[in-house]
Amino acid sequence: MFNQSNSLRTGTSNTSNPMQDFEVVSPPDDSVSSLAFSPASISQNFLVAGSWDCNVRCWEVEQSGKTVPKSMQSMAAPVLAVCWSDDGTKVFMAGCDKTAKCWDLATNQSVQVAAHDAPIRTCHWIKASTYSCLMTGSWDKTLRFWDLRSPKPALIINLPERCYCSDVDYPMAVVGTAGRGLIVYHLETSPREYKPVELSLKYQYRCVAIFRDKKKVPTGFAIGSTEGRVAIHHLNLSTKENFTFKCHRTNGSANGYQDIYAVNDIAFHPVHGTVVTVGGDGTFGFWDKDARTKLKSSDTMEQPITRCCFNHNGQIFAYAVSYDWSKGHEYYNPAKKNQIFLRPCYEELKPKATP
Amino acid sequence: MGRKKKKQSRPWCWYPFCFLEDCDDNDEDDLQRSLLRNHISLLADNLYSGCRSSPPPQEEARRTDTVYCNREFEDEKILIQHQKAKHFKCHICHKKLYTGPGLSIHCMQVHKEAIDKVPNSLPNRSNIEIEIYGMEGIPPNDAKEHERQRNGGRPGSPSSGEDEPVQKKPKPEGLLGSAPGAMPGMATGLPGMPPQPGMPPLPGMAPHPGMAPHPGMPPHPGMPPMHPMMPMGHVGPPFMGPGMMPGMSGMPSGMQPPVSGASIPPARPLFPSAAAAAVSTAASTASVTGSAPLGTDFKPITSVASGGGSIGPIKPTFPAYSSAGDSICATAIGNSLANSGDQKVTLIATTGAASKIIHPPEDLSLEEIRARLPKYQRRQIDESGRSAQSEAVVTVSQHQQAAALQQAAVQQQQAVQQQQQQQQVQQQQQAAANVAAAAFQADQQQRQQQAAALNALQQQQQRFPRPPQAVMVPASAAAMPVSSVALMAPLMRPTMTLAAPALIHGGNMMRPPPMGLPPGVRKIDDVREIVYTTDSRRQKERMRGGKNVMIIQIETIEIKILDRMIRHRISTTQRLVVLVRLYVLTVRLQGARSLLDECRMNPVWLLKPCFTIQALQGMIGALPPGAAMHPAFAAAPMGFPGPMLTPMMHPRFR
Repeated sequence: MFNQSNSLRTGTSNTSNPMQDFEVVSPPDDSVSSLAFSPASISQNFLVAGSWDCNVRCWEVEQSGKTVPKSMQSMAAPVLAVCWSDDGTKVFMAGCDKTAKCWDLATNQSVQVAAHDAPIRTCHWIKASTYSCLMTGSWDKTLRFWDLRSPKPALIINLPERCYCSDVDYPMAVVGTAGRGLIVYHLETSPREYKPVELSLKYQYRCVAIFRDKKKVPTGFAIGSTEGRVAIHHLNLSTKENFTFKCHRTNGSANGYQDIYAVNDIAFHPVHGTVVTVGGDGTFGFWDKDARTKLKSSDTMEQPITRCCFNHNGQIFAYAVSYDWSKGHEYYNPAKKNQIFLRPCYEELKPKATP
Repeated sequence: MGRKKKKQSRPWCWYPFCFLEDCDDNDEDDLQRSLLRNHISLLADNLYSGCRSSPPPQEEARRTDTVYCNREFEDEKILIQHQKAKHFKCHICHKKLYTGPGLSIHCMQVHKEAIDKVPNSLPNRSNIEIEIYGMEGIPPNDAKEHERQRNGGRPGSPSSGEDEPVQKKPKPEGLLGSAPGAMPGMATGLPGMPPQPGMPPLPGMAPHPGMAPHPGMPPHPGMPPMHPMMPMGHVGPPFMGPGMMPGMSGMPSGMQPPVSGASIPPARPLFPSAAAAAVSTAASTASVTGSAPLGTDFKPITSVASGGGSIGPIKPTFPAYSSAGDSICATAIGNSLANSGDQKVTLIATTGAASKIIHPPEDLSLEEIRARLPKYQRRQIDESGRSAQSEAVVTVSQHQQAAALQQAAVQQQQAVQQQQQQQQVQQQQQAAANVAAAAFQADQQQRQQQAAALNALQQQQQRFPRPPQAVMVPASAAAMPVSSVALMAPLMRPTMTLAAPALIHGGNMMRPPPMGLPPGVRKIDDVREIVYTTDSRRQKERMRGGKNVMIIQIETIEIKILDRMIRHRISTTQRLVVLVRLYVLTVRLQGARSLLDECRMNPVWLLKPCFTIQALQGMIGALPPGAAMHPAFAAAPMGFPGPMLTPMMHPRFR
């Protein structure tokens, strides 16, 4: 699957695609804010990407690495989050228009399913044994859970601060907020706070991803900060197991002056449990958190990498190269192309020595 | 002493320096420390200027001897350390380079900043082109001259002044703690003192930290002989006392207004920065005692006065470096500008000793910062109404309807304000185009041009008032007039002609008298937009623009400062804070120094995002109530007895 043939890889060794990966055709017109692959419940691979151009696009990714644009939906304001329903029939999208919409792929219709008092930063579909709902985290400092049939949220949880990042892997949910707040929720029967977490990161939390243990049970999370640092936090192990590592920093050899970039996104490989980080420096890094080693780091893209994700079986790694605003609007060049690349990653993300 | 005589050729520093810092300042030079240092140097200056005329001539000679010596060191390693820390340290990122050219190249490449002199050096030894590393590279003439001075230049004790490595200077805290009482003898007898004979005699010469000419300054080779050589040897042990440290603080002493420690009650800190610290102390105590947390409103002056009971225990509770969730963390002013009530924006320290975090200084997520761009909001306004109607929305919440209404209102408002702003733009262009255009074309490279154009575009966009419902975005889009700021010559060079004392008429800004607001109350929450203008007539428009537009009259100097801040990606919030700070300082000093001078001496002020609402409150609070913020204050300052100021004022301003 997703074989390694280079026939379709775009271009030669040009600067816009230093890793020689497959480029997604018809990319968004503005920075990519969110990226998600379809779940395992559908056989094909569909990739959706939300963008600051207010659109959510959907491509089908073929075995050969070829991408076919399928459809596009618009929101009233920039899209900040997308996610799939567990059955792969719907895509949820949320953003600056303070609403979340449900995009039914079969009918290509979208309806509003959630509303907040401020832009919605994250959305996740929760599939529990007894219920299913959409969780939205917003800058209005609430976490809301929506039964799609009701205009009122089924549950509102107040957050200490604005929601900046979240991840859901049933039965665990993690929400990172402004002011370096972090709450872990237990979603069984109904969402409730699990336990307070102390982290050693000193800077704003930017992205969080839940990882599983060997038995495929969610057991901890990795959280990335704006200061080029990722903390690995186990919830049920001794604090000894928790650690942070630095990433997405220039080595400073050029002028002896180190630039530290934000970790823009973290994703765990669904099979190997290894982790990838993408950063404002325009690189991605593959890491083995258990061996605490780096598996691979990419060449530097022309622009930051804003988001990344794996497909359901861990064959494809998708990453979006676009401006992340880390240098302010002065460095925003609307003329620069926003790109999404697909990389066969299964082998590269294998832990080096399996214990 | 005797021991030192044996060492005939100890390494010495070619750059005579004058600075109040420990030589061994380490790399963990965080904001707090540097801020503290600012306080120190200010306070120290204060003290110094208070006492500088009282010591007998002999004392003076001794002091300057110490201050302006060519320091000698135990060995070359230490000398190199000293040079790195004092002379080759980048003032922006505090990286320590090895040579002057190295520093120059670093600043040019990393910060796009031209440095034309070695920091903390006297003007005749400030050539940044000369490559000196330790003892290597010192021009042979100078080396000879140094030898000569050491051996023969001073009858009696050949090297008493220079030889002794300046001892560990007192820690800032200690200095501060003892500040008011440290120099009791020297703090008196000021009023009526004639101006110092050593007042800067060269009007065209750029004032420079540490170059304040002084009767006792040892004449360095190559320096225009300003004073007859004074006997310098018989001054006993080199000065080590804390009271003298102020002289080393890097301010041209000749321009210092005399502020004697005795004349100012300790309850009213002399300088805004000190006051800021005092306020933050007050703030922290306040929060401890459970009173209301610092809000977006300014604190009443009285509380500041009572809070800043003494200058001594400065608690560096500077939020710039504190954690984001800190309850007493500073609320950046832009917050209140954005009218976003309960939100607090912390600032993060993005620049470390050897690293820079590539992130805007506000502790907001990049998405929030980005989302507040009008580009992304307008679309929301345009389309949300339409989508609400056209789409089969399952739930149209009340929020949305309310929002739609609000948006309609906002659009109207926009139209009105847009008209006003067009007028503003025209005026500003008239005012600034002359100054700006030439320099702009000469200086900007293509990339910068692009950036500027982009900048201009963005700013133009930002000139639209932001919709009130967009509360998630603090730090308002304080519009910088494109014409006057973005196009200015990018560098603030010392060769630039000095403007008249540049007052930001922040008096109006902070406490606009005609607006009918009671003094001390600043309705800053209502301010949606900040307009910087060079045109004083604009003050009338402030009335028209209503209280939502804050208009700051600035001089060209400030424009340059602003421009520089913009180029360093310092947020509008901080720009404002810096401006206010500079304004307050200027008022404080009664125009005795131009802002440019201030900035030259403490470029850190401009480049470090370390000023917060607390600091701002401190500045305002530190001023005498009422008159302080009024522009007329410049003529009749309170808090400083008038007669004391006059003799010490810089000739330029008399």
